[in-house]
Amino acid sequence: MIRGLIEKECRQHATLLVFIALLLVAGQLALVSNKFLGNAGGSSFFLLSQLWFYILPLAALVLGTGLVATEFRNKTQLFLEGLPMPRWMMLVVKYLLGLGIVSICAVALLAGAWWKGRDAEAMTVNFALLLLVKSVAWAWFCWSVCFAHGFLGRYRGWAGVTLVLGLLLLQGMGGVMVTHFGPFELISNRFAYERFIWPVEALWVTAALIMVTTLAGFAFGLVRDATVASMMSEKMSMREKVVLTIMMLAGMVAIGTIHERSTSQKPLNLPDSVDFKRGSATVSAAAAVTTPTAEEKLALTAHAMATAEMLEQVGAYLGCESLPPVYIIHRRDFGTDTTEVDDSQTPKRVVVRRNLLTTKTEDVDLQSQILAAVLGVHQLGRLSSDTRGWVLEGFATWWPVREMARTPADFIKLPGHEGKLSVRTLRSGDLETWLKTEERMEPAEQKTCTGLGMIALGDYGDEPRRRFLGAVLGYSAPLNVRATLHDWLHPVDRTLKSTTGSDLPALAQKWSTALQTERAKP
Amino acid sequence: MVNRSPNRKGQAMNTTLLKKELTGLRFCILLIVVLASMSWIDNLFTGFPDHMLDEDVQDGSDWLVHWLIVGLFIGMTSFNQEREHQTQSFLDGLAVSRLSLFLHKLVAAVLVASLCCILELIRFLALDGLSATSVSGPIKWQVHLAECSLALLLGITVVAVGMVLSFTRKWFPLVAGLLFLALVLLSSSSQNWVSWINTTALLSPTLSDGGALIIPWKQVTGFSVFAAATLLLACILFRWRDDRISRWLERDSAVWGKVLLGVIVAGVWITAFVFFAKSQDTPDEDNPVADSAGVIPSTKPDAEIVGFASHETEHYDVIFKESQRKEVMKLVDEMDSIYQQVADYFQNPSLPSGRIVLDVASSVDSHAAGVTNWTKIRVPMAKATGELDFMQVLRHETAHVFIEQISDGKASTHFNAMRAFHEGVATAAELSVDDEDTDAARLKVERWAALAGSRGDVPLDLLCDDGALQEKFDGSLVYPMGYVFAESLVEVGEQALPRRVLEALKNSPPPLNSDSSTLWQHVLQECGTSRETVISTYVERLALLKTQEQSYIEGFPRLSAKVTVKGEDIVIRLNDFSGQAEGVKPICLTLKPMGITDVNERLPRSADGSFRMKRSEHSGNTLRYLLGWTSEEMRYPVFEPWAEALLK
Repeated sequence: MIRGLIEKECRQHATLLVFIALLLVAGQLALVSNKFLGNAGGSSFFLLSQLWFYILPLAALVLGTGLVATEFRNKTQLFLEGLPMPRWMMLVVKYLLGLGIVSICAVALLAGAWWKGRDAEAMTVNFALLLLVKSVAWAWFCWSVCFAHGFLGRYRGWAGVTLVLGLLLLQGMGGVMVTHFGPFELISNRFAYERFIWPVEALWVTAALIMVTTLAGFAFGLVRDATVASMMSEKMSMREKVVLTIMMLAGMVAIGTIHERSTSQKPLNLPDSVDFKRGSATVSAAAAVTTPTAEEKLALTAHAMATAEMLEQVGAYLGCESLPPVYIIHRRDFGTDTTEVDDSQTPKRVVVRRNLLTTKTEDVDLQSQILAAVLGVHQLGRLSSDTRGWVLEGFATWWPVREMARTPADFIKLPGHEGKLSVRTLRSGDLETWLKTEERMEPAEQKTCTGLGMIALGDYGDEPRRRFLGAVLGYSAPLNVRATLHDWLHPVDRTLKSTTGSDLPALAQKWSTALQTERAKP
Repeated sequence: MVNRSPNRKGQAMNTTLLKKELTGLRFCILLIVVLASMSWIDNLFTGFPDHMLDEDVQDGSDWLVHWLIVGLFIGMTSFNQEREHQTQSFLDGLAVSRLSLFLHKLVAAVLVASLCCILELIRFLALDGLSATSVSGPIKWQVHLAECSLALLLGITVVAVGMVLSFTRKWFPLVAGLLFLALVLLSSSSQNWVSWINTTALLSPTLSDGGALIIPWKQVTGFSVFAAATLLLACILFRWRDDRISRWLERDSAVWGKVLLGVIVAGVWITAFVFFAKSQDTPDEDNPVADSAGVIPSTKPDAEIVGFASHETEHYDVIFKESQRKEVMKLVDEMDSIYQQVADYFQNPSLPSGRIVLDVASSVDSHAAGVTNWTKIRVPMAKATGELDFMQVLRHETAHVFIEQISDGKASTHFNAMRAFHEGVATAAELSVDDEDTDAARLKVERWAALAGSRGDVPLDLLCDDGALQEKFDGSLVYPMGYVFAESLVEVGEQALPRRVLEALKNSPPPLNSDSSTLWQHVLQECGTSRETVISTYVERLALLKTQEQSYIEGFPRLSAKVTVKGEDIVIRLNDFSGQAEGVKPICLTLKPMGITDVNERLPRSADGSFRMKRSEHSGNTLRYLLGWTSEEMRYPVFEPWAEALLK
């Protein structure tokens, strides 16, 4: 009876078997005839591993469809069930037949690969056994998965696509090394070269997976007198297709979105760093040298403390619960005025590189750069916009000198702000198109201009100015459309009105007056 | 009773037929809407829609994939739905011709396809509109409109192909195989016919400096003709198809017929695959850059092969041709000392037992002197200029084996971030021996680094991001700059640091999807040092090298060129330069697409000093090229950063 069954399968699927053989031969021919791949791998077994990875699962899939899925779809299994043998025996025959076919193909192709590369491979018994065991285990795994897959009937396509996409997502986005897991490790890039070490763990995992998928296949085929498999093999309705497609696409989008939002970065840990945590501020300072001198260590401590205190005060002033951490790196090789600022947005953090030995802790320029970077990162770069750019730049310029420059006249006496201004009048439109406005000015002039703007804002009183700056700069932006909506719902002109009672044209007028402050004659 | 005129009746019929066709394509419409929604959701939940100027625009390959899913689906559904629902005979009973039915199907398919383009155009314009600033200039609506229109042309072509394929039924594998074979043969023909239907070139409309829109008319013509021909074929097939042909197409043939068809199909596909695989090969001739640099010229023609043999040393299984026996036997005694030198460089780590396979007979890529895969090294003896050269390459490749073994393969798993380390440390190990020849080789590498560093800033973050590095510079920079990086690591953490980096990769691997700077931050933190310290040391070493080799650098003036199209040729003419050292000559490389990858191709220099290539060999409106210097003295040519020119 069993022999009869095997003969029936062979007769029924003769074309399929020929197709599988041709598929594998075509795959091998295509790979072998590519010199580029041959040169890259340097071994005929390397080409074989590519064949295992790309073509063998395809062959097993075709076989599974022919031996299992077609049988149930055409309902010919009902005839087989009428034969005087248990249903499980019918499944065992199909399973063993499929396994035999893929195993024979695997061994034959392995032998072919060895024959082709016999002169360029240092073959040993151990190496040959390793290749054989890995190949057969992989073939068995592919077949057992495709056997179970065949019982899924109309859900085969979706299940297959989901499985493949899932594995790709895991590897590409999830950070899971699928290619070095269990069965995939067997045919990884070491397949062709590893001659000594047995992948014991990978073999055990593969064996377990083979067992699980085989049992799943038999369960599908036997449960409730095989009615589940029969039901699943029915044709899919349009509605079902639509629902499944949308579910799959939505799932992919969700995974992609979650992945993009997630961060898997370790916190920056600078060896021998000086760390300060003050209120909402966290500052670490370290030297980019193996053994910092005593003088450098002192400079690190002083700068870290000064920056932490400054950021603590800024956090309290703007009402920020937390600010991005700041890492200050001392670079001996930098010149006096060289500063590098890295403002990473995922995760939020600011790295400042500067030669601290040549920099004073009260250096206004450095403080200003740190402030601009920290507040910029806090809102993920959204502050460098037409409507808010002047607020960020002005605050970063004004804050370090706020005690020294309470009036425009005091401010323009400060170093760096003594120069003539080319822009002496601002209109509200200029404040709404700040990126264009600032193009009319040199960088130093921009600082002077925006700093004067902050002083002009102080004309409404210290508290209204604090409320306005807190409303614009104190918001911590999430990386999605909510931040956009927040900015649309809280435009700067409306925020100015609600916090100071004034509007942009009035502020522009005050600001213009400040810009026209007479400079002292030399 | 309402008396309708024939015109009105015809209009009503047309509307009804169109509605019917659109209803039949409702699943396609749903698919299109879902795909468009996915893009929107991605835009809204992973970024700011008002900060996406010129971002996230689909390129040619995106559109092609999109149409291969949606377009084929539309095309095949248009006719298959009649067969599935058996409505063709009903339609034939109506007072409309087959041609009219075909036109309705075509109009419905084009409408559905244009929905894709309209949704994408709305997205482009909405994102650009939201992201516009006072300095961003006007929205490039012409480019977006042109791109979407060209994408629609591509879509209609794919729809037409889908329509024709829907008639093939069981002949589909044969027809598809023949089409694939034809495409492969056409693309490999010297006439470069496929450039007429190059999707990348079709979907890259650009604005010239003067703001004029540049449309790839050649590809527009190619696709239009192809689409028209395919639609005509589909129309003919539809008009001629009656029950007799359908029955013939779908009838069950005898077993011998099936087998014969199977064999023919298999034959076509195998042939197509073999041709395809061959077409992906890099050219057989040696890489002109390598030759010109004098790195690995092939000085010894292969002797007649009379069999292979192997020889075991303590650390190597050497495989060679019998004809190489004499040369190999002279070297085998020294091979183990090479292994020991590399082991010393890595401070004698404990590696899994087993010998390395050293294959000196097999070939490698023409630009390489040796290749390592896990524990197998290929160093073709025929390529080595001498024993010393062979031993140096062997030392380099053995170092690669150590790197892979110590890191348990993790160094190649994170290839993008680790390539500079891989090559740099291998070069440092290669040059770690103290003798006169190695000193000379070290000087060459250091000069190479100084020269390369003088062509543009190569920060460590860029060096350790191979993809980004190769976008900006020639990829071979990983050898000299990687060497400086490796030496910096040794300076920061003494000789043990390279090995500790590899052990950290193995024992505390960084997340698989981490970017290169995160990976290096992670790994160096695990080693108890910081990326910042290494960056600082690397910058200092490179600056020192540049200072030391200032006079040498001056012998290689910076190069730039003007690119023009003259008739059939693209001409790259060097701008004036002077002060070059004796014996150095300028070279120019461009990227030549080789199927799945692009390879650098050296352009010949004509008598007037310019470099030329055929315009027909280059698709697209921009040309990327590398200018550089080469000489017999140099280990490898040194290049300027990649330059790009608009082809007018």
